[in-house]
Amino acid sequence: MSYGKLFEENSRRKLAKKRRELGDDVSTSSDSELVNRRPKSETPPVDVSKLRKERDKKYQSQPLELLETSSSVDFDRWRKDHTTEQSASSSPDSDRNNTRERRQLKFKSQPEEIEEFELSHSWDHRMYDGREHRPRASAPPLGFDDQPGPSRRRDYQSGPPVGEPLMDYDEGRYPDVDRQRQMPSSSRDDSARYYRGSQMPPSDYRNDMENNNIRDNGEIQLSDVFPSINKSDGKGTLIRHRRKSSRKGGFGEVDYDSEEDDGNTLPSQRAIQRNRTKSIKERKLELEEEKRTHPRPKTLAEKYHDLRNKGTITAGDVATIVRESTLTRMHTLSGTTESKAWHKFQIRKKAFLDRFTIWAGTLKEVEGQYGTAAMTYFRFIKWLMFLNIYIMIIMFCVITVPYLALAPYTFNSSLTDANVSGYREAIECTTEYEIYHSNLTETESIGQQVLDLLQGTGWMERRILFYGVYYNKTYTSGDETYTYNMGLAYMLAFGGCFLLSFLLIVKNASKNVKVSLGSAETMAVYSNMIFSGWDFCINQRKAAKVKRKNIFTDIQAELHDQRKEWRRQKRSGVENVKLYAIRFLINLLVLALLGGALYLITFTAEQMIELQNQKNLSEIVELLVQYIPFVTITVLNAVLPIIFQKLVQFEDYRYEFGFKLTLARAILLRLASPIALIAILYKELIERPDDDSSSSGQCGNKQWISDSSRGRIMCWETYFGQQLYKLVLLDLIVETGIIFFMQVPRWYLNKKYGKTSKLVKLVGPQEFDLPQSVVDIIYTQSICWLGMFFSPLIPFMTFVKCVLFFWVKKLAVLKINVPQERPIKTSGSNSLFMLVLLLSFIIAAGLLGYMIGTIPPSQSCGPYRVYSNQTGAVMFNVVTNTVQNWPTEARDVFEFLGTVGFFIPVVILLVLLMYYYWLRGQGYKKTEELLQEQLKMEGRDKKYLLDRVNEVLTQNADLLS
Amino acid sequence: MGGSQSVFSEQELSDYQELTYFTKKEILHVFKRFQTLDPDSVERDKNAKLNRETILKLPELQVNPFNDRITTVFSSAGDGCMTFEDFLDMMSVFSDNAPKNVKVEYAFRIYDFDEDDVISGKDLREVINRLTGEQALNDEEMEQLIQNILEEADLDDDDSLSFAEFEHVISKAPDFINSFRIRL
Repeated sequence: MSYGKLFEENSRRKLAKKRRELGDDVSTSSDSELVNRRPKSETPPVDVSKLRKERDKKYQSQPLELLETSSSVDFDRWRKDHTTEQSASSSPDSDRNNTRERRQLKFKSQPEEIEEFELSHSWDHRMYDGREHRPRASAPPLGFDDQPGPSRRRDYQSGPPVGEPLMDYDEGRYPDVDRQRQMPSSSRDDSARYYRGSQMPPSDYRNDMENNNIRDNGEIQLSDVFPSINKSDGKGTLIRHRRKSSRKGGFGEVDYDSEEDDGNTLPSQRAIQRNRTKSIKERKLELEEEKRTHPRPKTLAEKYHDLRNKGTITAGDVATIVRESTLTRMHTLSGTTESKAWHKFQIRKKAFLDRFTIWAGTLKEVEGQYGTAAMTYFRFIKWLMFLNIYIMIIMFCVITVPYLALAPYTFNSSLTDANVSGYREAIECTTEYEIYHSNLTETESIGQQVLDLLQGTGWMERRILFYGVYYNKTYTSGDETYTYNMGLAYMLAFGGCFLLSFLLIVKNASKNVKVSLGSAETMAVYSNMIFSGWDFCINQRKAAKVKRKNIFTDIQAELHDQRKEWRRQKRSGVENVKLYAIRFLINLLVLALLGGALYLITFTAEQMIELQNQKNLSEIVELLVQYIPFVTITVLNAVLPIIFQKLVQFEDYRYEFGFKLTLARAILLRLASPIALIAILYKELIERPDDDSSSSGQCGNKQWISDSSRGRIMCWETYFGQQLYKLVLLDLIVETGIIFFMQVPRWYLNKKYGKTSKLVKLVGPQEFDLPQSVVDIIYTQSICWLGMFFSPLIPFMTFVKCVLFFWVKKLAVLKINVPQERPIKTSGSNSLFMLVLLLSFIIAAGLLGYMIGTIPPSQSCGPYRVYSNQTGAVMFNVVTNTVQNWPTEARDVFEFLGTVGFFIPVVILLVLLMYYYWLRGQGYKKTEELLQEQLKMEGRDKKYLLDRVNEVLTQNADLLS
Repeated sequence: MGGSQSVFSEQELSDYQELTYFTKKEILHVFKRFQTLDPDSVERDKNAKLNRETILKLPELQVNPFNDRITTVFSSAGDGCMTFEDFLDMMSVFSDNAPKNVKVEYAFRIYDFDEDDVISGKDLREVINRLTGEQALNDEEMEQLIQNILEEADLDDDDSLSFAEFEHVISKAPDFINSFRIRL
């Protein structure tokens, strides 16, 4: 964009603004009119005193800035000129004689004239070259001149400065520049006082004047070179003192818009001011302006309508409008309009999505009481809930609904007649399982049925809830009969869910990581504490009080830690050795605790399977036995973190690190416990010792025993599903139970006896333990991933759990709990939690992938039993079998994907890509360091220069006096 | 919603939508919140100028230690009074969708108590005092804290933070974007 164009646009805008101010009807005058209009003859004479009053009112609160930098003015001569000028201005003719000077003066307030200049190319650049002075620093951002911009929002960051004053300096009230230039120096107080009494010349004018001083007199005034000393300095330089004194002299109330003087500041400062955010009002005016200057082009239909209204239509007219429309269209397309359309689409998308926003009220409530950190926990639950809804929908649509909707209704009839002989084993096992199961359920009492509900056994076992029931289905369309390959559907649904989860996690994690990555090492702890200390969401007095207290303790603790760190550096060798010994011992202890916990889990699980085979247990005892391992897991998960918390205090870490360490230990336990359970089940059920493959185990199951007693494991996948079902159920019961049976009474006691009983007061109400809660919910989700395959019901259960947790926790947080004394930071923990979620996801995916790829499925149940005639059948066979039926090319491609020839190059490529990004990251780091260094250097330069300036100024002052 | 729908024309709404980070629905919601501050005068004139005391009735601002600065910064007249547009502007800046650099700029102006375009030690002291409220840090702690902050943020050793320095240090303060926020 050319300079002239920019300027033209700019002045046009300003003109319109001014007009609006004056009540002029802008909309009637077109651009060309504006340009051609003689300002003198049309602008009515303005009442100066009235204007002044208005201005005074408007800018009363703005302090006088940088007055002293204006060069000296001879007061008397100035006034004389002023009066003559004023009298002269009444006649338009005499006015034209000395246009040149005035143009220079008024170029801010009289854009018309400037446009004339532009048009006639008589613009005098003399005063503006040599310094990068854009007219009034309000150059519109690029792309604004002849196209509707993509988005007004960027005006938050770009565009002219705030508070573009609408002062309307009437011309002729400023002294002649040339005369002014020749004036000798005199007291600056005088000039200032004069300005106060009369009209203030715009700073640009003063600045230009000063520039001319430089050129014409060859005498450099330092205030011209570094006019913004006061702005950037901050220490008591001489200029600062002078300003203060002049303020004391009664200039404090002189109104002067700070934006006016940006011609007086350093270029960098000017740039900052130019980029300053504008208030909404200004942005609105600009939008209107833009709309007016770039009205929406009429559509073809509208144009045609106009034409018809006019009367006759000729072919030529039609051709013209078609051509015009096409040109406009092309024009808009080639411009920035596309991004605008995109932007509009974004807004619409957001508005659409807003309709589905739920629980916003709760989030706000929590936020108001606990701050943002607690809110993120609830948002996380909400996010998980949606994830589970997606998983649930996929599972239901691909597996459950087809299973229920399609024939046939028994497994045996689902087999195609041609190769029944091949499925003999599967049929036998299935029949035996079915007979066993129907015998079992027929004799059950109501009590047993209720207990079954808790265990997922009995009547529940052979429902759509578990893996075991599924088999291939067929559907007919016309004469053709197709097979609905349930095994494949299972695999696809499962793969789809995992892929979806993975993508969503990565998306969410990357959002968080973007915020916190890179800042982890270089985080500005103290600035973070102060500048982002207050949570602006807080809206309750009590919460605000708590927050204040939190900030206070946080600051104190952090400072205390720092002092401790200083002491630590001075610590003697013996103390160090002692500390490291303690840490080592505690780590050993933690490992021992973890090992013990895992052993306990495996032991109880083994007992559970063994006791299951005993026939003489009563139902209640059986239920207890069934639940022993899960109760163990839950209790360990509740107790051990507390022990870890106590232990870490002896290790003498920094608070933040100690906290994270404790959390990591707790998470380790959480993730390890279900894995231990699965490992022991695997060992008991599937793993066949090499030496005796025939002694025990049939139908793909080690525990298969051919008798009809209760509690036999006929289908190990379903059994897995049952275990995980129990785990989910117990987790749900315990979590809600803790709140209702421990926290509620505790809260009640505190409320009632908190003031009287010392013991109750000591215990206090339950604190809201955010990290522990997050770990709980992550654990829930990882169980869901683990159990999904064995029980398509589990995603649904997890969804219900999420909803329930949300409400129960909301109740707890808002009514029962109190905020923590020293809560942890939001930022670091967020990405940590996502990392843990990702980790648990990977573990679940890895375990299940291993199972699908290597473990032979049961022959008595599930969609994969049809492959049991193949030796070494695994679940993945369903995929390979399908691929066999593909056309050769597709098959070749698929097979190639599995070969080493494909795999190794891909790995190498990925490694190279990682390396590339790592290098780039390093590069950015280096750049950051360099830039930082540069910033420092510039700061030092500035300081040095300021010192020099002060020195020279002092000398000057000495010389003058 | 029907009541407030008629307050603004479709054109006004889409203009506001262009100018802020809000959707139309959210703008109407903001207006509702504005209206609850002083139903009578807003009923009479939707562009009514509410004085600082009325604006501070907004719960978030009521308890905010920097509430007087916020109203001053966002008031277009600079005196703490706010029209609906100022209010909308404020809520827009505090909304989730406002980019970080916009927030940083306003934060800088809020923390710059004496409006000299730098956050000096004095400003820092004021910020800290307002944050901690009744419990004040003792002098030694305060000195240590301010020194720590300046060490982190003040690159040119002039004992005050310019906007560039502030922006830089905020990029290392990951909690900022989460805390400088008011939910609608």
